[in-house]
Amino acid sequence: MSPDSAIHYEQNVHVREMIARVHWLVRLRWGFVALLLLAAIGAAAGLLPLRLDARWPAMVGAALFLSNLFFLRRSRRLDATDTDERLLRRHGLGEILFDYLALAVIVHALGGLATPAIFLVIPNVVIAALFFGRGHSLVITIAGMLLVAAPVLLTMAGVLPLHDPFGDGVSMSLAHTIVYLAIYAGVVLFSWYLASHITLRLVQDELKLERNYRDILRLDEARTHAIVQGAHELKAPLAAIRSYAWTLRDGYAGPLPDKAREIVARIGERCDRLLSRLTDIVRLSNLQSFVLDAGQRPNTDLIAAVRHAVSEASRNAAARDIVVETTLPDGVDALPVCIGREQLENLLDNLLGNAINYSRDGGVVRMRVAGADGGARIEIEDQGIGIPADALPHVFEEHYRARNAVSHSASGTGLGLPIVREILRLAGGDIDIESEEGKGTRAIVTLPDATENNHPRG
Amino acid sequence: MAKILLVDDDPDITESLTLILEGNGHQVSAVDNTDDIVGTVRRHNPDLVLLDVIFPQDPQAGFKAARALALDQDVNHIPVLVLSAVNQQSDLGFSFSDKDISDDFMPVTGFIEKPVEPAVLLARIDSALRGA
Repeated sequence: MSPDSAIHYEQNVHVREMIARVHWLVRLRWGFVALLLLAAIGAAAGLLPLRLDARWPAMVGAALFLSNLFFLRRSRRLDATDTDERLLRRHGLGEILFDYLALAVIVHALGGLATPAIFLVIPNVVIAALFFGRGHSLVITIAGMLLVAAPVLLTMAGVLPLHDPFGDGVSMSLAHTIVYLAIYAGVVLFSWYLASHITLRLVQDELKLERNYRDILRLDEARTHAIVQGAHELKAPLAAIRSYAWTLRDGYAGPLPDKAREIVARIGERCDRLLSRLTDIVRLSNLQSFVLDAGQRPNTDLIAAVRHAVSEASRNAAARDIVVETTLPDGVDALPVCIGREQLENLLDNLLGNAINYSRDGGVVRMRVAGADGGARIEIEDQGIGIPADALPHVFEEHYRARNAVSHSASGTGLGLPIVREILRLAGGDIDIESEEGKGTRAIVTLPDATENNHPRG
Repeated sequence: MAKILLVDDDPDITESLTLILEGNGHQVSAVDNTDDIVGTVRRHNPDLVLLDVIFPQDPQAGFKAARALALDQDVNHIPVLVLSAVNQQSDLGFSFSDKDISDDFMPVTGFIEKPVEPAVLLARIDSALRGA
């Protein structure tokens, strides 16, 4: 990844984070709306231990409710891919200022300094610190603090009537009021300092984490590349050795004594096994590196792929008198599934190969394909050696091979099913394996529909 | 018995295939690259070309060579069998097999998976020659 796209990525992380906060703020506000409406009902029913005109909380609650509907609509339209930070900040600023305004009304309705309601601004201070950098959040905090304190000051100046919900006859001296407001300002500013400081650290840590994660992905990509490269480099000499072994075995370089021919043939077979193991390693590494290519939406016809896989596999099957029976859905010419052609073929080859490999000579392998809701379902069933119950949980582990599998067939790398599962994990499909030792195995694969709105996982 | 042109960069593969083919009475000439493939084929005038797909300089060299041969009026009647390693993937992330044969995409007679069982190789060569 280029440094430019790394910066872009970090911005995206930041924007996503801000969108999450906007959504969170909207949810939080519903709680306040509920509280205010409860207060309004309580006040109307005379259940509150204070004389509060029910219209106050009802009014503020209704205003918050309506504004929150508006914010909700807007926040749903926010999307990390095309929203710039400025727009998001403006959105956040709108919500925070509106909340301060609502608080100012609440504080005034509760009698100004007669209750500690004025300290309800602190959550808003924290929220502003989350949304904005230190400078901006300080300005917003001071503005909000003054906005909420304004009714108190206006009441003192005689512009607003005094509310006395407790009937205590609030008459605070000027000195008392000044001390109260000074403590209020101190607590608010100290809260801002703590919140913005912690937020700054959090954001820095978050970016560092993201950067490290990208570095690890990059390293992993390089490692995968090295594995694939190394495997390819090993394949060429191995292929040459095998080619020579066959040349010798078949006597093209002159006649060999029987024992020598047998040994040369075994050299060839061992090369064979090594080569198929390397092929599997390359396949698995390539698959794992596909994680970085998430976002494509492949579309492959399952029916054509099944026909192809069956015709390929039938040659091996016929050599051991194994019949492959295929059942395709009636009257369906094509069944598009959301998976790459290469991966689908790889998957079918592996599963059919296993079914044939672990069948007894003369057995039957049944393959059923059906469209399932929003995708497709493939069942591959054999009547072969089956998987022992204690081995079944391990079949998806890399290089694992059950005891009876090893004694039935020496070849096999134990990478087939891990590859299948990896392919399905990336494609958003699933596999289930049912088996009984000595009776046979059934693999049930579900694949996502190509037209459905699903995303490959990564 | 046929004249076969073998195009492969691996000298050991070339030697073993040559032994097998000559052992069956074919006449083999070998080149280790696809440079001026059309000129090479014209010069050797073989009955069949055995072509490797991936060369170290260019992972698509075999593919390009097959197309160049298919486009040349003088040599496009000569059957071309492509040797490709089992599931070998080029850097472009694709592999070839018989299903990819088409006049536009892969204008060749057939694919043989490498390394080749001698009996399979000989059978494929025979059927390609009979078809020609």
